[in-house]
Amino acid sequence: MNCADAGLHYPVLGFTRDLQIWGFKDLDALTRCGPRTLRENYQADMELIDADGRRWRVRTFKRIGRAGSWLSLLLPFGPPQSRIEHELEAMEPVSIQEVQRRTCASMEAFSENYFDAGEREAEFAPLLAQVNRTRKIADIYELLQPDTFEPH
Amino acid sequence: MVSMPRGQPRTVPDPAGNLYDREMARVRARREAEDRGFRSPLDAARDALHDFQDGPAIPRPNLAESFIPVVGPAWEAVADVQDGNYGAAAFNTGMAVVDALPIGVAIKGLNAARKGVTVLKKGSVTAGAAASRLRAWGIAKKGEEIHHTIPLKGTGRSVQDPRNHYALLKVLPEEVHQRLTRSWNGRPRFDPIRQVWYGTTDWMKAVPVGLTGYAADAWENVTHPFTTPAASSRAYPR
Repeated sequence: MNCADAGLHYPVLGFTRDLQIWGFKDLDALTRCGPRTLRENYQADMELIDADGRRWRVRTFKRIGRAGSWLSLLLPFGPPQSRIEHELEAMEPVSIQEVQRRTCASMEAFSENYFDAGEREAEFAPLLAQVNRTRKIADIYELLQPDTFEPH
Repeated sequence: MVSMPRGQPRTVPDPAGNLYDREMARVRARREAEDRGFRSPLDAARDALHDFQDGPAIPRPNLAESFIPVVGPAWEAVADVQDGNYGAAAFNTGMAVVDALPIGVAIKGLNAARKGVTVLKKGSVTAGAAASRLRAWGIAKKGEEIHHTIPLKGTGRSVQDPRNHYALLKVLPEEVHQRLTRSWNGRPRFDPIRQVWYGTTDWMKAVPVGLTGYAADAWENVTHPFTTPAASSRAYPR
């Protein structure tokens, strides 16, 4: 089953093996990536959680063509984008609390991206609290605006 | 014939003669050294300059050629040296260096782009997302922070904002980053000059300098194309 067939409700959150959190506002963003993602097989085993809490695991993914502007083929405007297709495996749905927990775990693992030195209490702690106050998965996406695989 | 008074010494001090003898000895030694193939670097350089200036005249670049980055002003500088117009040579050498600055920055930029740091960040344009990529690619290492050259001024690190594009970010050691805005670990905040120097990217410094250089060079080429004082007394082959 690929992403189009799965009937995902966007936005979708992704959690890779290294605990990074990713976000996709639509099918186009989800099925597009930079060269590193393919080279490092980075999306393998990524878990996707859609706006309704339904969950899938990425079993495999492969390049099926080019995506985006031709301009991205120029080095300063790259990286060149690829259109990819996933092979998904359905998993048990998860609750908003579970998604909040996983999101906070991801943020803790990469906390240096969320605040400047010495500003942990002022910047990071309130953001974690906001994540825990969300009521919908879409709220988490809106709050964090996670990255896609386009630059990677 | 000089007759010395009886009882007086037969020789007297001759300061001028001694100086003359020393100078002659130095000239003799230099000639002997030259005969043996030894010359001081300064003499060699001076002779080379004389040979260069007396040699075939270098045609000056035409107006279009003088606008070729680096090559144009460097070419002019060489011709100025041949004319003995060292002031103009220094100016054109400076222009060649200024021309080269943006090229150096462009090379650095292409090298960064090769690692994925492109002009605009694709995907999410939040401070967190940009930091995440720069750290994942090893461009920002442990102990280094990511400086926003245009301050976020309270905008959250999870808000998409054009100020988070890679071209406006700079990786700095933690202490340097912190001292841009405050005292840090007992060391004072940077003075305004260092705030600008450390707080801006290479392209932000090189582009204005390069543009100013191009403007000055263009002005010189247009207003004084071939009228250096020494050049006016010299015939240039065309």
